[in-house]
Amino acid sequence: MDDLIATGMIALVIFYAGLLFIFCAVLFLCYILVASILSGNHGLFLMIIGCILCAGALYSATGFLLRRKGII
Amino acid sequence: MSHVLISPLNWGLGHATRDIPIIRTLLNHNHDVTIAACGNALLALQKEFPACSFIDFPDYPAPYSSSRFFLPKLAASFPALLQAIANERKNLGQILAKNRYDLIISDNRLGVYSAKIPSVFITHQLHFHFPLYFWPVELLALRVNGYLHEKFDKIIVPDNPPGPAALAGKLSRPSVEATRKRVFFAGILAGIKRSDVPSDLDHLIMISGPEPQRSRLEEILLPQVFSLAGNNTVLLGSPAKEGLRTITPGCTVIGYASTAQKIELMNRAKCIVCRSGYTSMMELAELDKRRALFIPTPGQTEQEYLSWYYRKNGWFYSESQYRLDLPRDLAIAHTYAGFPPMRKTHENVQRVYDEVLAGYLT
Repeated sequence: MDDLIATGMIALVIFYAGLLFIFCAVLFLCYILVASILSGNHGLFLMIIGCILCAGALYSATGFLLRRKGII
Repeated sequence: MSHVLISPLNWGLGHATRDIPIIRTLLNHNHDVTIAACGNALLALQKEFPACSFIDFPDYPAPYSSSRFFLPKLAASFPALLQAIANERKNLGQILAKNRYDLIISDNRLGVYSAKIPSVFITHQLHFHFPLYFWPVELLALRVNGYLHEKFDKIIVPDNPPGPAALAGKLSRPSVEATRKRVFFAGILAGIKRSDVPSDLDHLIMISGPEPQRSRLEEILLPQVFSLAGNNTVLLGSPAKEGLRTITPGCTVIGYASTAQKIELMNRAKCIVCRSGYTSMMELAELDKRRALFIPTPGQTEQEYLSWYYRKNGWFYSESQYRLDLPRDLAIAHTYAGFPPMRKTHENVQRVYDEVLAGYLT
């Protein structure tokens, strides 16, 4: 097989596996959030929300920084 | 005398038209040129160079979207794209087996290269632009581009070197070593020429690009055009409306114009309203047009970036088609300075030949 196509297929598998992983992680997080609310564990709920907000802020800040530095 | 295979991508006519000066230069140096393309790109080049040999060589479906959701559609189209590149590699093998070629020139066709024949890639996008929230994909795309560029001997970029006069901004900035060591900045390569005609057209409005966004823009723009003062022309850019010509006081609407007609109108126009595709930008630079208003195709990140970049540099104003108010936006557009002075196509294409192509040809 042509090496361009072979590499493309591997990249495609990794790309879609990554998407699937992110999708599963989001579902799992939603499940824990709902479970923590239903079981009355508000501490866990707030902790997860806090972690999500921190991760979002870190992700955005990294993107801003990379664009500011002209890397992307 | 050498034999050159040149293959432009058929995603709009931009790739084919910027190859016109290169093909013309190769023919002027008495080389044989075979053009392998498909669709409108093939038809346009057949019209321009009837003496060349032609091969119908299918490429990839363009992942254009009817909505703003261009990126999800692009991601979903990857398997089809890979399949198309696999077919392209197979077809290229058959083409190369039938004839002897000394050089392959691929304009944005990723699979058109050979390990046995010198291969040159033409692109203005060394760096893909994505919305900020997709920054990991943009970083990844840099690596992917570097890998793809390794397959070619040279990368010709139809733009000025990175710096204040770079027309494509960060898009033409080489970010990985594999690209950096192959890149040649050619300067603008436009398929049109400046002519000495009177500037008697106040506004030329060119509605173009892939459907259905072309039709959407037509619906938005046409009602506003009639409120403009002066002598105006609208090109609908719709082959289905060929022959349509509506003339009202101050405004002519043309369904579909030939290339020659379009070039003449562009030369006559004092101000041009169009999409911000890179080929159109090179054409404006070639014609030294200082007044224009750009309307990026929604969801096409390249056009959205270029519009933003020109506005930031104070070169040209742009506005989204969803917020367009033609009289107001044209008044703002007239306060912008236009592109900085730069070398023109005839000089650039000679440099491309002397400094890149001639090295592979006898």
